[in-house]
This record gives sequence, C-alpha cells and structure tokens, in this order.
Amino acid sequence: MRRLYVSDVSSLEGLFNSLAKEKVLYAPTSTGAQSEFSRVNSLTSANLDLVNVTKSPKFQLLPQTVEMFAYDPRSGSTSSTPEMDVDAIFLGVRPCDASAIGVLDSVLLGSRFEDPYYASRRHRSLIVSVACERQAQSCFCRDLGTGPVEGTGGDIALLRVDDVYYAKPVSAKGLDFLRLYQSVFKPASDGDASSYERKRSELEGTMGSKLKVDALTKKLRDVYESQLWPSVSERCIGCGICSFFCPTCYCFDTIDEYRSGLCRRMRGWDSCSYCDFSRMAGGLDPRPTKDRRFRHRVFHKWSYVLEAFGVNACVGCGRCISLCPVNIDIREVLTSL
Amino acid sequence: MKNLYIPSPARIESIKDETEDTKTFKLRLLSQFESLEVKPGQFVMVGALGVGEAPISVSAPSDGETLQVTVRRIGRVTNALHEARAGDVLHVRGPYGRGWPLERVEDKDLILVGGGIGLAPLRPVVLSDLGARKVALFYGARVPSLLLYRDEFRAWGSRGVEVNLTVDRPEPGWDGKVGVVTKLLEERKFDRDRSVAFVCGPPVMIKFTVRALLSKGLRAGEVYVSLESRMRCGVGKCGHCHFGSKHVCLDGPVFSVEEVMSLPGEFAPL
Repeated sequence: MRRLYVSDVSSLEGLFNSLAKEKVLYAPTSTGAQSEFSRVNSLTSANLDLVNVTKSPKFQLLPQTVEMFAYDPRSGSTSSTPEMDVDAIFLGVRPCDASAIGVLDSVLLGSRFEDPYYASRRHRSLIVSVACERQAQSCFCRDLGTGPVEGTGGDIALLRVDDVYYAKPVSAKGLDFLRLYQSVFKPASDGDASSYERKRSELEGTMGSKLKVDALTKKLRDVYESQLWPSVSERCIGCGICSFFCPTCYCFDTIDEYRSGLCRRMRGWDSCSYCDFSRMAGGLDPRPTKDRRFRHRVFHKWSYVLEAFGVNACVGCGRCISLCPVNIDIREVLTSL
Repeated sequence: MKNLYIPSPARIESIKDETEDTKTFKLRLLSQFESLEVKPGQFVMVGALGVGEAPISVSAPSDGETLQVTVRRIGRVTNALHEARAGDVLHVRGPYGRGWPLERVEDKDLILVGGGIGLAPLRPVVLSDLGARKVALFYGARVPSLLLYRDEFRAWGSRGVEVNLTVDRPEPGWDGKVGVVTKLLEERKFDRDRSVAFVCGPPVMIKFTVRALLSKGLRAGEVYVSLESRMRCGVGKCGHCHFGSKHVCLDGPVFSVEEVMSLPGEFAPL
C-alpha cells in the first residue's frame, strides 16, 4: 500500500493559503453554471464542493492555443515561446481529472519525444486531487478505476473525513511535497488507515459500477466493421465539444500567421469529429464520412491510446455526455454496439 | 531542453522541374540538423514559414549536408514551396519515421514498385549502395510526361537496376508499355525466398500491387509499403496519423503488409 499521511483541515488550508503567495494556486471556482480552475489568493474564493468543474486542468496544462515560436524574416532568427516560469499547484482536481493528467503524461512526456509546451507546464505543476463525495448522473469513474477516491495520475490524492484530510502520494513529486511539509502532513496511524479505508469503501459503495469495461474493450475488436456505426452516430453534428472538454483529448492542429512583422506558428486543439481532421492535401481522406469519424473517436479513446501508450484514454469524467448538444452517451454507444 | 518543433533553416541550392506539377529541391542545411543521417524512406517536415509545413519523403541518400525532397504541387503548403526560388530559405525538421528495412533485407533481391510521385521515396534506395543484390524497378504514371526522374533512368540502368516503365495513357513519342503497373508484375516470376518488395504510390495502386505480389507468392512480411497520412507534428503528439497501435510518423511511414493487415481497415485499404 502507498504511504498515508494525515493533516487537520485548518493546517492544510493554512499551508495552501500561504503557498498561494509564492506560487500560483489554481482551485475550482464557479460563476453561474460555468466552472473552471482559476488562480486564487486564498481558498476562501475556491469552491471545493462542486461535483466537478466544467473545464479540467487541461485548459491550463495544454492550453487551447499556444504560440509555438516566432520567426523574424529580417534577421532569420527564431525565438521559442517562453515556458511557464512559475510553480503552480492545482488543488481540488477530481480523481478522474488527475487520472487524465496521467494519460496526458503518458502521451506527451512518454514515448520517444517530449512535447516541450506540455512538459514545461506539467513539470512545474503539482496536481492535488480531492476525493468525490457525490457523483453526477454522467460520472462513471468507478467503472474505469479512475475514482472516486484515488486517481491513476497526478501527484497527491486527498480524502477528507470530518475535520482531517488523508493524503496519499501518487508520484515521487507528491511524496517529496508531503515530506517537505512534514509539520502539516503527519504519517498516519493504524487507526487513521482504517478510518481511510472505511471512508473509501463507503464512497465507492455509494457510487455503483455499471459498465463492464473489460468486456466492452474486448468487444470493440469485433465491432469495427459493425453495421451500426451510421445509426449510433446519426445524431452527431460534429461540433467537437466532446473533444474540447475531454480532459485527455490532446490532438492539435498548427497554423502559421503573420503579426507585427513576425511569423508565428500557433497550435490549437483539433478534433477528430471535424470533417477535415484526416483529409490530406489533394483531398484523399481515410475517414470521409461521419460514421467513420465517430468510430475513430470511440476507438481512439477506448483502444488506440491503450495500444500505443498503455493507458485507457477515457477516465469516466462524463463531460462528453453532459455537454453533448445532441445527448450522445458514450456508455449507451458502447453497450449498444 | 531543445524544442523539437522549431525547424532548421535550409537554403534552396537548386530546383529541378521533374514534371508539370513536381519539382526536386536540393536544400543545404544552415544549422545543425537533428540527425545528419537520413535513411531511405524517412521523411522530413518541410515548411514555408507563414504558410505551414508538410511531411515529405527524402528523395536522395543523405550526404550529411544537403537534403533532397521531391514535391508535388497538391495543396496549400506545396503550392508555396513551388513558388520558392533557388537561394530562398525553407525550414525543415526531422528526419522522422522508419524507412525501408534495407539492413534487415541485406541479402535479398529488391522489387521496387512505384506509382506517380510514389517513386520519390524509392529513389534513395536506387541510389544507395546496392551491393551484389538484384534490383528491379517497376514504375508507372498516368502519362509519360508525369514520369519522375526520366533523365536518370539510363544511369540507374548502368548501376545494375532493371528499369521497367509503363503509363496508363500514351502520348506522342512514347514507345514503351501501356497499362497499370500491376500489368508489368503479372508478366514476371519472383523467387519468394530471395525477394523483398518495396511499394509506394496512390492507395489504389498500393492495394492492387500488394495483391499482385502476394499472388506471385511473396510473403506479407516481405512486402513493404510506404503510407501517407495527414500529420502536423511528425513525432506522435498531434494525433492525426494514429491508427490502432501505430503512428504513421513514428512507426512508419514504411510498414510491412503483415503489420498493415493487423491495423484498422481504414488505415490502408489492402
């Protein structure tokens, strides 16, 4: 078992409030129906009770648009965009979204190349998740093992029980942090450990598991050629909201533009739901129809990333379900195929 | 940390018109490239800053200082490249991907099959050190004036490469074969234990060429194809060329037919 630490609520809040002065502290905030991670000066302006924020930390770690570099045609020099130059803490990330950061780490930091824009932000960020007390109708982290108490990514996982927080390191960076602030995080006693486990089973028990993920993943191999793709994708309008709000969707497009005498190469999120996502110069396109693009999205999420990077790219956060303008539910799609 | 997305400047040393829509650019690198050794079948991202960049196969063996790419005018970026003049500076990144498995098949005879612009990634194979093996090239284009590297075929012949040409439609002055490239293969016998095939061309040509080669007895693991995909990064991050467990940019663009058959059907309709 990973090591367990314990802190009373007021010491933990005091620590993050003081860290907000020397680092950037991001925490969930809400305005009306909109919620996101914003920079806060103290936790009094944060809202840690939301089931989840609409905009996951992907909006900060892998921003929607990034300037990759600027080229000056007169001097012939190229300047890279400055990297994030301050340490950040994301507090109150839900376990599903912490798991999603684990997926982004595998894709963008792993394999043979490291994406410098994601790396500069991720390496300077500490991801602290807080266990969920409630779930939305669209949540299905229990089915995927990505919540509701501990995720599979991020750095530290917190669970609140009455007036204490239990803290588990998820990464070496998380463990270093807990050790650095040993006046706040004390090693847990046996009594603490059983209280932690009691709360964990209670939360997991209230959030039932319905999808048989292993069976669905196996079934996917046989449904690639299914005749049902046109009907399950019929309602899709190709708007790309599912990709944009998905905490693991990382695909990007690039575009060059001239501004103030400099040529800037920008990159921005792309979506495999868009009709030109796979179209090549000259018009050749392996996915010219909506049902093929829809199938690709399902396979990329549930099969291809797993095959190529060893992690499932769906973390069960349910945003693609709750935000879809035509009420497509990936759980229904997977079970109906 | 070096930013892998920042391209290196390269001056256009010369431009050769190959056909009405295709040019070969010889580029001289003005700064250190990622790797000076470019293997036949690998590609580079070639960019015209202000317009964009596109993945283009290298079309000559590497000499460590210059790089050749043969570019067909087909879209936004390649149009901009065709507007460039000798002396202009382009921007390149790479080399990326896995090329033809020349080392693995060192003792085998080579069957090279190209269609149209698909001869470009095969040219570095023709021009590399071929040793004692036999090399037969089968190359087709829509019309004779669209055959690439026409002025080089004689020299390729004296390197020991057997050059077989065909066109879909003849033009005045053409006294060679007429028909699709698979017709050239039908007339031939291949020793399945000694032969390896490298194929590049449009998808429909690849499909029928692979079928023809397999029906001639070649094994799926000994037939290699170079595939195309939209891509933006070249390093497995942008998601565009990801099919099944493979990325065209990282694991390809050269794949064995055996590998292709284990991938999702839309990846390469064989």
